[in-house]
Amino acid sequence: MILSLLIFLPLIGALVVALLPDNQHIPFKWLTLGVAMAELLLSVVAYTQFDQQQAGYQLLEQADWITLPLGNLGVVSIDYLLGVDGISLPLVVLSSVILLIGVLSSWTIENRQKAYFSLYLLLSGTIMGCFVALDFFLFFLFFEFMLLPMYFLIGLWGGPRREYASIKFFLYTLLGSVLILLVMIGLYLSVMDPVSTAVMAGLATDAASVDQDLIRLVQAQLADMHISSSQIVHTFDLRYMADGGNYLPNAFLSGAGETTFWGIPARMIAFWAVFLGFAIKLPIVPLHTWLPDAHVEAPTPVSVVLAGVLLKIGGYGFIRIAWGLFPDGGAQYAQTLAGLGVLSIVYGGLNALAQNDLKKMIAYSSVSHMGFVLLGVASLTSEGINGAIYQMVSHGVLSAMLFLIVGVIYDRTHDRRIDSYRGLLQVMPHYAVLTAVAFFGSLGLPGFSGFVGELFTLMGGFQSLWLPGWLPSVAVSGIVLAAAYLLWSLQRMFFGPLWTRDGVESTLTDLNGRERLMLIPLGLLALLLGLLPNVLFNLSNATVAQWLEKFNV
Amino acid sequence: MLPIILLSVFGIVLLFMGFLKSKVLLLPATLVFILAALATTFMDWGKTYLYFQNMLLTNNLAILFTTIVLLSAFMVVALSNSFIEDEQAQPAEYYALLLFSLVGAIMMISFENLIMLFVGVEILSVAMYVLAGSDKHSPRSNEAALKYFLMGAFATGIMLFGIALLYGATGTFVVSGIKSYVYTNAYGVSLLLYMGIILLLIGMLFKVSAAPFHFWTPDVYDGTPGLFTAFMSTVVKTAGFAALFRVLSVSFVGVYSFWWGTLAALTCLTLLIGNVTAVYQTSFKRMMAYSSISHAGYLLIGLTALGTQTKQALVFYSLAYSLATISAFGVLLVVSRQRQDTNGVNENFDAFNGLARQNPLLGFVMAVSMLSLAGIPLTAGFWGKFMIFTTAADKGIYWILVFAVLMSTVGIYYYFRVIIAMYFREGAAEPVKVAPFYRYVLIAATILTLVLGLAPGLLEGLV
Amino acid sequence: MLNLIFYAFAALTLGGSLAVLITRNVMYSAFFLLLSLIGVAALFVLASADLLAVAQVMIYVGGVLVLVIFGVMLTHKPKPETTTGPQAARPNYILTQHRAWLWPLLVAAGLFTAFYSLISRIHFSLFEHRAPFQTSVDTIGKQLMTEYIIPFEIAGILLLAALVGATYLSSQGDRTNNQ
Repeated sequence: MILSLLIFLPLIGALVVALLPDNQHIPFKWLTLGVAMAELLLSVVAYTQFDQQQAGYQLLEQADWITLPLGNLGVVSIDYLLGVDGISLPLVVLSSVILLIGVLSSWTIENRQKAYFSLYLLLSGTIMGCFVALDFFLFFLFFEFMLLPMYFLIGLWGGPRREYASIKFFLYTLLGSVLILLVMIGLYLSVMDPVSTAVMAGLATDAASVDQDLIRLVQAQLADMHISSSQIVHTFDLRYMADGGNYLPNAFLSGAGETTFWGIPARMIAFWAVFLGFAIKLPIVPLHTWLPDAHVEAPTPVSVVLAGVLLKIGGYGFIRIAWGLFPDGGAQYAQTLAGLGVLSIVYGGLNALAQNDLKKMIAYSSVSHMGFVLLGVASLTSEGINGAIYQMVSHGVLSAMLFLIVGVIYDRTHDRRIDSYRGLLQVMPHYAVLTAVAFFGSLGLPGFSGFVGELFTLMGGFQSLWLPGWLPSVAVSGIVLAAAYLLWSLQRMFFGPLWTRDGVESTLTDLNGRERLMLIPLGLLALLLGLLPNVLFNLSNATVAQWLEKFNV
Repeated sequence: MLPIILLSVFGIVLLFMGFLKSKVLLLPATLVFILAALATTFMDWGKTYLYFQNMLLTNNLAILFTTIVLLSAFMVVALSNSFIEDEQAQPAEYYALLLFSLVGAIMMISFENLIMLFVGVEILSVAMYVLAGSDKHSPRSNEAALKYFLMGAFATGIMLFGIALLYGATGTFVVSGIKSYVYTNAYGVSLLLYMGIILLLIGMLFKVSAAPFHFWTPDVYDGTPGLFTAFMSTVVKTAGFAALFRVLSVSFVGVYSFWWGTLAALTCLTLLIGNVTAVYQTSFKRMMAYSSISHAGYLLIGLTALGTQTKQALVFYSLAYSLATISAFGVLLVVSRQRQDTNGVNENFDAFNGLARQNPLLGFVMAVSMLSLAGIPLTAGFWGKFMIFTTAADKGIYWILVFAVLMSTVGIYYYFRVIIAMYFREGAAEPVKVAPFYRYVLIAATILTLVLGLAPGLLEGLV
Repeated sequence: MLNLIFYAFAALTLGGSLAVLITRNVMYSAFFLLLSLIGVAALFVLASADLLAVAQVMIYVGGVLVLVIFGVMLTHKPKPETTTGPQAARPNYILTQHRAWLWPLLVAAGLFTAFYSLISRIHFSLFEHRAPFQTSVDTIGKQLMTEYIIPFEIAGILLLAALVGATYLSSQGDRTNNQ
């Protein structure tokens, strides 16, 4: 129930906002703020109800949604299936926090408030749906439908090149999602639902009476081809897809890998397709080019949500789907994948160093930091995966903060160039302090969350049996680069005598109450996560340990 | 087979109604006629009947295709209120021709004898030639009619030749007779049969504007008055694919290995040409012409991967495509008429600039129809594509699937240009007005698109 | 003897068609078309298809060709003296000759090869046991009125649609303004 509420509260909110008359006196922002706060409350309740010791999915909800007969392919049955585990719950909580901050940051939106907040709520609902959906199809629907509100948010309230940036964002992500769609169809044709199949094959009277032993029996019978094709019930259920025993023996994506294209097993191609789909979202060099454009053109709150939450869906997809459903692919190509991660770390860092636009610099630093996520996942060690989840949460908090910081200065002067400012410390002391917190957190200063995330992913990289030692060593240079570009910007913008390019010193006022309300909690959160990393690790550890069992070959 | 008789009679009745001074009655009368035909169509639901000495065969599939065609025609007629205001128009003739063309379409859907297919194609085509040129004072309309006529006559000739060869090979015109010929002579099919299949396919692919027989499409769609373009791109296409499906799935399924490769190649070519060329258009109407070519490509995938669920995929796809296309043209008609410039009606993308602000309803209708055509989830178009892709996946033709998926990404680009124009651009300030009934039709089509997107199982078990 | 007649008429048909292509005067072309069509009709007779032969003469020679000749005669205008410049720029000029010979030639050659190889490789079942001549008019007439009554009737709708369309297109558009 609670997970459904998490999805539907914002969706209903969006509908309400859309149906209300477009009237200046209706406080759309307060309505949205209320929904966002309720979301935070709900996610905290979900957090308290979650049993951290247990590895499997919890708070499950299931209902039949779409049943569509497809001839001899059986029936497409798409379930409304929700649940969280230690991988998704941190991201759910993170999303609710960031989305609340995003509403606060949207306070200054004056233009077409009704449409804006309606789209914002729609976006919130689909993001939550992405993280809690356990049916692949449901996940895909949320994943793809999320693009639309984002597209309009960038395209309608964005900067001068918003049309280009929004369509580029849309096309890149859509290309990724059609790759995922292809694999999804292939997986669907290859996987059975053991519970329903047991009922169909007459091994059980009803679904409730099917236990683990019976499932194993069904799987054994399937492997021996004792179950006729008409009795096999296909499924989109991610839980069943993750279990190798449920794959049909001769199917396209079955574990034996009999189907090959140009000598490559179909499963490996499928793995790469899904990987690319999520790598575009994460983003991974060289598929990252939409990100700087989208960030530069997007309004501040949209940037916050984009960097804080949307990118995490890419990392979540890696763990849950790409590696989760194709562990053999993840193991076989571990080096290449980690190499791509390291490439992102270094390339993103170097690019960030070269930027003069503060927002673009932060966008590239996102590319660099998300590279650590890929490195951590590809290492296939407990430290690496936990670290990747940690890094996602930490980057969610810190990048949101960074983009808010850019927003603060941009609101005042409409100029984001780093070399337009000098000595801001003198007029904006609080701003300078919070910027320093965010920068130090991002560059991995011990005590802040960024440090823990990067440390654990690197530890994972060094400990990994699959990776050579030089890869994580190169990745360490990413931290050095981060220190370089962040500290250099800090020094250029905040120290020295006060100077601005356009002589707009008078407009530079220190943070107002709303801005403090957004930045201080985020800063505290980064500090808290850095000092008490166990809060997060306790949540994810059990699930990750179980997840890694797949790789013990 | 009452609808064929009814529609023929109603067409003649409409011609007589044209003598009346008042043109007010024509539109409602036509709508009632179409509804009556639709109602009688369902009298055969659930049964399989052969009519008139093996000339026509009705089954549930044929009834569903007929429903789609009649529904499309109903919406097109309902959107034709401008004729009443237009002094020059002669609605009685238009409506009569539309009803006659529906007779042809239904014959194409439910033929059992290839002669009926030929006569059906001819009736539909002749009516469309005239309607393409119905704007007599526009050189573009004249050009469209002439081009359509010449190309169409050529295509029918080729098709007829194919039918004759098939008769020469098998000694029968009956679809199931050809099937039994193919099965009894599995290893020694006459060469004439192969030649006949090729020529018949060429003729039919011409009608559904699949590449490389598509070259008439852009000019004809562009020149034809918008309303009839909507009719052409939905009714003709649906009927054409229904006919292709019947002839391929019944008669030629035994020689699947002969034609599927060719059809697969043509499918890819159609997808490529339709999608890539659509990107470069400045006129919305021309873009829709190329988009209709690309949708012919998607539908062809279903035929290439002929299997048990092909028919369901075709029905769903045709329905989704027809709904979206008609609502898109409906919006275009209103907008282009109210945004006239010196060259007459403005049918370019920039006609839609700022539409979402001047008339949010029209903007929304257009946006949903573009999303559905692009195949975004939670619209009917997504499920249509999904089903079509599943047929290909089931048949194991993955390369065509990958190609189609890439092409559908290209499609997003040009469909979103309309959305960009409507939502992101500033346009003329004056509001766009829509007549109430017109609005209801558009709303109904949009709601149907969304409902089918949320619950595609509604059509479950019908086929 | 029969062979001789066949080859004579075949030569007439082919020669007529060739002449249609070669002559530059539209009027002569129309007359050569007449020769060609009559040749085809004669070939139909030789193939025992009497009804087809009659239909060929009545429809194509008697109907279509007469229309063509009338059309040519009525629209034929003497060349205006004043007009100069390239032919294609003059009004009412129809491009009858095209410089691009290659593609049409290729297509025609391809079609010819395809059909020739088809015909040469096909086994015609009627070839062995020749039936004695009997008129086909009876059978076709009966068939049209029994088995094929529906297509026959529906063709009426086709003709009606064509008729309505033709009157509509040729009528003066501003009918309402004249009243």
